[in-house]
Amino acid sequence: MIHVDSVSFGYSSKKLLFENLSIKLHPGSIYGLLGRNGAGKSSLLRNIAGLLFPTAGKIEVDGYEPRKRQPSFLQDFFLIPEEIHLPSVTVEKYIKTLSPFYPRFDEKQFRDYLKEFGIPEGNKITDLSYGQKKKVLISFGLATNTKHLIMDEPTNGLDIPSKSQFRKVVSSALDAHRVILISTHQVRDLDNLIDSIIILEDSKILLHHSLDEISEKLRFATLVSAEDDNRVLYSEPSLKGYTVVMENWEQEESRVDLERLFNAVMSNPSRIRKIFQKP
Amino acid sequence: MNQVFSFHRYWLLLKLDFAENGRRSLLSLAVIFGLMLIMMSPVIDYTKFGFDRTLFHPFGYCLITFCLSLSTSLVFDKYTSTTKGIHTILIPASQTEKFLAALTGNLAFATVVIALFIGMHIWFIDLMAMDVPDIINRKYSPPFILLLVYIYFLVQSVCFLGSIYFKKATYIKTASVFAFVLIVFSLINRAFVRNATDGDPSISAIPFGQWNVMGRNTVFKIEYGESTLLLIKIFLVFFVTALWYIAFVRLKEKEI
Repeated sequence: MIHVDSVSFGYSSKKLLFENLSIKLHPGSIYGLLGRNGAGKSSLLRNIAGLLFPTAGKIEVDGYEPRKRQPSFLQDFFLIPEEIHLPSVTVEKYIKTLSPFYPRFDEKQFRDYLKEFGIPEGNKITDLSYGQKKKVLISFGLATNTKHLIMDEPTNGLDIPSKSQFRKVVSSALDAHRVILISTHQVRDLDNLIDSIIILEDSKILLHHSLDEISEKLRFATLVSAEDDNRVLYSEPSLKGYTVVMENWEQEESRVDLERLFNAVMSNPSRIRKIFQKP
Repeated sequence: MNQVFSFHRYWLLLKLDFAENGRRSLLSLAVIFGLMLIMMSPVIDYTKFGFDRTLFHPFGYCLITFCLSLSTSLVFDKYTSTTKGIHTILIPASQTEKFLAALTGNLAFATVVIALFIGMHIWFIDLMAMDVPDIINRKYSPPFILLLVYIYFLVQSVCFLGSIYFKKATYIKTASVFAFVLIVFSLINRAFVRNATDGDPSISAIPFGQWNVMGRNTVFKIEYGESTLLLIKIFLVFFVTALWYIAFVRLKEKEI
């Protein structure tokens, strides 16, 4: 479990990027972390990874304090950053030198992922394109079978077919003991992948709920007109009228549209908070 | 599981470092060796160009000190860049192991180079002495060799600290700070000597070294007692170790 407890952080002491943030991430779920550019998503991930140290509060990952960077913590933690680095060696050499650090690394799994992504074996990593390098790192990260897998903008640099391969591969890698946290501003790439959402904005968590909870409280629909409807939190014009996010008074089922949800939370944070505070 | 140090993880880190940098290090070693050979060996007869045969031996020392300090200033280069830093910090090994692996690799490389220099110096002087017996007097004495070795490793340890301390223009900043500290220390030493001798201009002293008194046609050297010399040597070794320790603390505090 990842527990962020009243954490504050800023690159300068005068301006905090986020303040008094608390979240709990449980194993067996894929969390999507959404937010605008500069909201602090990457910084939050780096605090969880122990790359940055909070100015206040505490972070615990399965009882370990990430800032101590202990081997036991690191063996069960893998971060795929937005800007990747891979050494100038062949894929074989990469596995040979790095995999011994991860006790649960599965080479067969790694090769299966590479095959799924269509990466040729035997090539030097530097000879691969950026997208291919990213796929190698994603494959390696998944094959380490760490309990905590964090990905920062993993689909950046991937072509369209690769994005659906990514969704397929990541969803198959989830098990009851694993926490997967994906940070992105490309919400469409997380469609049918995540089961919980965290939205970070203006130094605070605006939303932290599972998709089931969200679809209970909110309805995603298309209306002919959105005016004079008190239930509507957010609307945008579409061919058939208005696609809306509205309060789900009738408890109707609807598929959560991540992009519309994000826009609704951004435009109506206080109302969203009230809706999700109600029992 | 030991969270501080494990030989297995330490060995894995050394293997990883060698896989990433081994080829470059061996190439650098070959280039340095080639340059030393050209400068120091009797293969080229520098007397034909009006130079003393052993003139380039000190230059050889300066060359290896400079080249190695450049290489040492890049030891923690991977922690200063965001992409490499994330990858390196998150490798499942303790900070102690990562630090020791970096230090071991650097010291091993530096030791091989200085050993090559000393070996080549002694061997080539002995070779040249077969033709010109007087040359044997140019061979560095053991205390002088010890001094050269200390200065060499002092420079490496300063660059080692600088490589984790400075993010950009590492070598220039480290060299500038080192030069500044040397100048200040020399001035303090000079002021101390002047104060102790009421400003007598005939007396000078090297920091931590002997005092020189200029006579009419001679120079009198006043050396420290054995126990004082031992204390000074212990302090100087402790100083180098302290620089490594500060680098270790800095590594632990490193944020990306």
